[in-house]
Amino acid sequence: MTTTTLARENTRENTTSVSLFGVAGAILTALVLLYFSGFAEAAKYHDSAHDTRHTLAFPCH
Amino acid sequence: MTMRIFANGLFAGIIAGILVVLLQYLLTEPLILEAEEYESGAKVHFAGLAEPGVMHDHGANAAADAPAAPEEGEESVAARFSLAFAADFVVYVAWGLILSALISVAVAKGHKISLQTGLLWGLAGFVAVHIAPGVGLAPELPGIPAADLNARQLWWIGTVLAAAAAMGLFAFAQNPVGIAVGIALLVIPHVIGAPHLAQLAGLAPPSLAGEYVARSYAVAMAGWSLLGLATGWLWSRPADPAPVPVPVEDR
Repeated sequence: MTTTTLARENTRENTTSVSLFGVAGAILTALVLLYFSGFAEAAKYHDSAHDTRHTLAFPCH
Repeated sequence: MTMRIFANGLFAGIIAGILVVLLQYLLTEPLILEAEEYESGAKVHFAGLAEPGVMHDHGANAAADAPAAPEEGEESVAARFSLAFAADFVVYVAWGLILSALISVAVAKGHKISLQTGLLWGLAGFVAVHIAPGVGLAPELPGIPAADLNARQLWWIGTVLAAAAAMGLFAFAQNPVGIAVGIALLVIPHVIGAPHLAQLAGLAPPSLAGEYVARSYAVAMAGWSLLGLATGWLWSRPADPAPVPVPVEDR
């Protein structure tokens, strides 16, 4: 096996398999971020993100 | 692949976040601050007919809310804006991560991602996150009384999830059944109906609220379009631009 074929095979492998860990991790991270920025009712989070919640039309108050 | 999902989502979210911060500062913040003048009683719409302060009950949070009352100085307004703008980045990085994760699945299934398809992904996100729930729960100025918060949040989440699934079906289902299910997913939340109060009320003038809705949609459409373009651009780049050659000996 030569250097070039190995590199090509690696690239192909990277682009054809779903990374379940990556997909689930990214979505979970996003949900945590959205919870604190858009939904958490504690005054600390609500007040900090107040204008953003209104601008981005999250249900607020 | 895992690193790429996170890196692309983060980078696209920051790019879109910059635009959203700018547009929020120019378009929606002035109206939010003006609405709070009506809410606090500094300005009165139909002077004498409305009772300031009664429409915006936060219960236990009442004292902590409305961080920039008119008597507060410029410093607290700056602090308020920086917190709000930081929150913009948090929200758009979150949407960027979700978009990036979903696009990674499409890429793995052999779909081509480009600037153009990225823009379509972004516009689909705008429809799912803003248009679909906005039909039932329009963007609101501070000081407009609304139904129970948890009920509205629950309806909003369900509607966004259903609309996102509908967007996926429209884009990828190659059959009439998939399209029909997508349409049903868009319609059903509105048949159930968003939580609303029996009577409309509010301290700010309806014209201000109308202007606010238009601007809120403009900010959202710009933000999601750029988020889609950025994500599409990042995912259209070669996966591994400079693979390090590994010397392998033939045996």
